[in-house]
Amino acid sequence: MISEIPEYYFERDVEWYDWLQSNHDKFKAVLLIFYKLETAMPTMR
Amino acid sequence: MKKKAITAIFLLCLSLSFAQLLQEKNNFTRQDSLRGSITPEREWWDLTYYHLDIEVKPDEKFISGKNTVQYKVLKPHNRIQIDLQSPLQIEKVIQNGKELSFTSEMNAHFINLVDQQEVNTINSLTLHYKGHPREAKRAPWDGGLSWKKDENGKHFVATSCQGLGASVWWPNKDHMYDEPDSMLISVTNPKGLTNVSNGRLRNLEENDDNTVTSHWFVSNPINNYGVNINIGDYTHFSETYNGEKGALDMDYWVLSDNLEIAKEHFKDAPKMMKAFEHWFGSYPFYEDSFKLVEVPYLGMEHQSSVTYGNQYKKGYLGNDLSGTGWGLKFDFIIIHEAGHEWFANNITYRDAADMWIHEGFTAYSENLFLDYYYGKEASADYVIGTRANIQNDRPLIGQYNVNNEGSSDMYYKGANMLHTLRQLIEDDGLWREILRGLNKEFYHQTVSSQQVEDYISKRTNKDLTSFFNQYLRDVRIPTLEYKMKDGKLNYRYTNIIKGFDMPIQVELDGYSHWLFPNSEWQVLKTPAKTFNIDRDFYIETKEI
Repeated sequence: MISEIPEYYFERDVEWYDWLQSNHDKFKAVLLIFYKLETAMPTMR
Repeated sequence: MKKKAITAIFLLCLSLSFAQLLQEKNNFTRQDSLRGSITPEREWWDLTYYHLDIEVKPDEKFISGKNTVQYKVLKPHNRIQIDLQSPLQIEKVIQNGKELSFTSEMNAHFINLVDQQEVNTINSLTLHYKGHPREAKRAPWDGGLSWKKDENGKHFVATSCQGLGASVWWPNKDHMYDEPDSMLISVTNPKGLTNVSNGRLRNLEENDDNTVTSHWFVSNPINNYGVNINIGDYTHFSETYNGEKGALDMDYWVLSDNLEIAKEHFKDAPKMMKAFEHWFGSYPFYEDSFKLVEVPYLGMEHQSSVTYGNQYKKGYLGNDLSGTGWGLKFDFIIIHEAGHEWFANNITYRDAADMWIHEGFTAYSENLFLDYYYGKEASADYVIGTRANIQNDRPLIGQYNVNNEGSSDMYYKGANMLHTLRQLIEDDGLWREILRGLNKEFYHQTVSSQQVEDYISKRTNKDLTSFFNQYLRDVRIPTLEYKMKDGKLNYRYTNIIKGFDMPIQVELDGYSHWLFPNSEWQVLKTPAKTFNIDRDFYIETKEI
C-alpha cells in the first residue's frame, strides 16, 4: 500500500486560504486538485 | 472522467493537533479480536488451497459464487472460523456432500463440522455466498469493490482490501498468519471485458449466456489481501526478463486506449526488477510471472499482479514526495508497489501490528532503486528528503491480536531507520547480504517484527535491541545535545529510551570520527573548530 496523502479540491483561492488558516498545522502534506481549463469546472488558477 | 491535475503541497510545520487527532486506538472490540487474533477456531487447521469461483455482475454491483477451502488438520476440533463481511451473506456450507450449520458473530462465522477431523488429513469445505459487497470509498486505503467506468463508458472494476480484510469480498480465513500453498481464481464476467487476477491464466471459457470465465492459478503461497480481481477493457503486452532465476515473464495489462503510453512508461518495470534482484535477491514468484495491471485507483501490491493507477506519471501522481527532485526519476507506484513483492508478498507480517515490515522496507526500496541507478548520494538525498513527511505521532508497531496497524510513519520513519542502520553497519556488502538474506531466510513466510530484528542483530553481530525499541516502539527521535568550548566537545543523548546508545558518525574539521553517546554527558578533547553530524543518521541535534 502507499502512504495516504489527503486530497482537497477548492473552487476558489479564498477557500484554500481559509482551509490553511484552520489546518496548516494538522497535515504534513496534502494533494490539491486543479481541473483543467477545458473541463469548465470551477477551480483555483 | 474529468481531466484534472493534482499537486502536492507540503505543510512543513509541527503537527501537535494532528497527533492528538490520531491518538492510538485503545477501545478495541470483540470484532477486532475475532478479526485480529488466532482464535481456537483458526489455530487447529492449516490452509493448503483455495478455489475461489465467482461471477461478477458490474451492472448490478453484485457478486456470487463459492470458495472451496482446503486444509490440513493440525489437532482435533469440530468448529471452524470463516470470515465474510456484511452485507455479503453465506448461503450454505458443504463438506463431503453434507450441508453444515453455522452461527455468526458479526463478520466471523463458526461452522459446525459433522465429520471427524483426523490429525494430518486434508479436508475441504465449500462456502457459497452472494451479495452487494462494500463499495470502496477511497481505494486502496478505504477499500472494497471499485465499480468504475473508463473514459469510453466501459466497466472498470477492481478490488482492494488491505487492512479492511479480504473477507470484504470473499469468504476466507482472514488472518495474515496462514496462507494457502496455492490458489485457483475463477471469475465469470460479461463478454467484452477481461478479468486479470494473480498468477497465470490457465484457461479462458466463453459461456452461452454472454459471459466469459477466466481461470488464474497461483502456484505459490499468497496472503489474503494480495488476492485480486480486475475487470476492464484490457489489452496486453509482454516481455521476457532474464533474471537471477532465469527467464521471467513480465506481462502488462492496460486499458485499450493506453497501450502506446504504457509501452513507453512501463520501461521502469524491468529497471525495477534489475535493481531489486540486485538488492533483495531473485524475484520471489517466477512461477507465477510478474504483471502490472491498470486499475481505477492509485495502486496496490497484489502478488504477481501489481496494480497500477498512477496516470502514467513519474513520482507520486507527478509529485516528488522527497522534495529533492530525485522522486521524479521513477514512477512511484511501479517502484513502491513492486518492491512489496519482496517485503509484503515474500516476507509477510503475521500480525497487522508489524506492518512496518512491509512499508518500512518498501519505502526504503525507493531509495535503493535510486542508489542502483544514480548512486549513494542521490539515494541519501531522497530518503532524508522524505523525513519531512514524518509525524512522530505514534510508534511504528501497533497493538497485537486486534488487527491494529502502527503509525503511518512506518513508511518514511521506517525507511530512515533502515538508512541509519546501513550507516551503523558500515559495510554495504554486508548490508546487501542482509537484505538478500532476509528474503532467503523468510522465503514465502509470515513473520513477526521480532524475527526480523533478531535476524539483523545476528547477521551484524550487534545487539540492536535498544535501536529497534527506540525507532519502532517509541515516538521520540533521539536528540544529540552538544557544546564545543575550550578545546572540548561535550555531548549526550536526550529523548531516548533507557539504554539507547547508538554510535554516530561526525566530522571534526572535515575528518570523520565516531562518537559513542548515551544519556550521560561525555567529553572529547579536540582542537577542531568545526563539528558536523552525518546527515545519514536519523537524529535531532541541539547545540547547548
